[in-house]
Amino acid sequence: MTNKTINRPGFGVIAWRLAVKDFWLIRWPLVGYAAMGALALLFISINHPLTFHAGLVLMVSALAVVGAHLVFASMMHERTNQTLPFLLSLPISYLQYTWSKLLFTIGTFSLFWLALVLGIFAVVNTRDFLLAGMLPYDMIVLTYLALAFVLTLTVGMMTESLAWTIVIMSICNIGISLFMITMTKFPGLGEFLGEPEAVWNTTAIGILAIEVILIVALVGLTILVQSRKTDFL
Amino acid sequence: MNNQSAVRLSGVNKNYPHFSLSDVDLDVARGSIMGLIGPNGAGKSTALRIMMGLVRPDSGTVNVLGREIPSEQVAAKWRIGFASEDMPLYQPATLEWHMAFMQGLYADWDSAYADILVQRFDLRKDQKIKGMSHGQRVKSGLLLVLARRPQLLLLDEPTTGLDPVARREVLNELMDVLADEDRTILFSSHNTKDVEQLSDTITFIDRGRIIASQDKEIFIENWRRIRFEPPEGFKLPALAGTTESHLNGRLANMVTRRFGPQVTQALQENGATVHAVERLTLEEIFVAEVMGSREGDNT
Repeated sequence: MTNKTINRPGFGVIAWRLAVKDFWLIRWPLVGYAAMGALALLFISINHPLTFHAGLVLMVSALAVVGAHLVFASMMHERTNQTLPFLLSLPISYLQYTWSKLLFTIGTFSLFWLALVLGIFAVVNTRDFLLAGMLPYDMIVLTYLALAFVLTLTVGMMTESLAWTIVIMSICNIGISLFMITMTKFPGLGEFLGEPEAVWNTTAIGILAIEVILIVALVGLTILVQSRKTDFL
Repeated sequence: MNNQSAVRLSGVNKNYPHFSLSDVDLDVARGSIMGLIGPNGAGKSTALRIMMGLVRPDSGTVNVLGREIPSEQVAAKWRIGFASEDMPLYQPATLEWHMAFMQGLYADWDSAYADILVQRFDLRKDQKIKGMSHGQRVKSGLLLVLARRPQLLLLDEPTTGLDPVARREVLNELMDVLADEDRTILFSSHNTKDVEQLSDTITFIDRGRIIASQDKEIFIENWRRIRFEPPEGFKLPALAGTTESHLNGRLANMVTRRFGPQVTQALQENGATVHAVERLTLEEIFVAEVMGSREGDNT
């Protein structure tokens, strides 16, 4: 039979092609969000209270929106538009499908997240009027946004429910403001916001560590739950 | 597993809250084309999804192209082409984009054949899926499957919703696929005409159970409607395989699933005059099988 001589791609290649496919399908919105992020950093770098705050809001919004778009466009739409059977007819298992979706969505979000983190560090370090004391706070807020994204993504994957995904996303978005306000008053963190140098104390590192651990735990739980599923359509 | 089997299901059960697939045994020979006929909700799609590893049976074994399913589904899927009537492609992308996507995955993608199919199916490569008619979408999906030249085609209602011209194009193409003797097709449908045209083996499924499965010609040969004139006080003799009988005044008819010379002989011995012995269409056989199964009188 001819199939014995055919060199078939491994899962890594297939996952990459699926990721490229997902990226291509939402390439224009992603370009728009990248521009939104760049604009946010530009606003923050202008020495004016109005543009500074507008930049912060725009930055948070850009990350929240890119996360929402990644969850809906690359994953939930696969079910609602009924393209999942086409995808699962390809030579991949459902667990491999889960891996490819996690790699694409978390990978793409991480690129945006990393670009904004680096951008914030660059702006703060090159603009004298911006105090480096806010950097731990910024990192904690940005990581909260990453946690909110991963929570929404993994709940969406595990429940396969549009309703649950929207509920979790709404709660996370409402939580952004509460979280930001809470952190400005959090003992060991809030009092250092006005310092000229960043203070990476155990409080800041501890909060960041908890956020990262929760992200890793959510991804691990998702893999576990998905590997136990028996029906995929 | 029989080496001549492309698909073999043994004692497969799958329970849902409002539907159960029960004790399904199915054997699809390599190089054959089997039509899986059943009413809506009979379990056709569930059976095909189990074969693809998309649904895991509660019990029983599934073997496709020599691979255990679902554990070896990835290896099997390289050689399976699966298309379903409700399997949309990506709306914002063109057919050409989909073809390139598949070519990137499958080393055995046949570009020349894909281009031929574009012509035969009267499609345009640069057209976006969202701008296509239902028939064009179905044909595009089939093109993506056929151009991989899979050894096994699992098609779930491939001709549903197609106009007569599109249906003819699709059926012709499936006939061409079978020119390669090593390739197998299993397709589900509730359109008995399509199945009759294409299949050499037929399986009837209803309410999650396989109610009959055999060679199409045997079905056609075994089922007959006999029109006869009964004498006064005629009583229909007990004949195995009789599924229905009607006495309308001086004319009567009966349907049997086990036709042979003994049937007309028994009628004549009881004084009846046989006027006609007619073949049943596959649709009539299907309906009779289903009704018989539901009434529990399938002897």
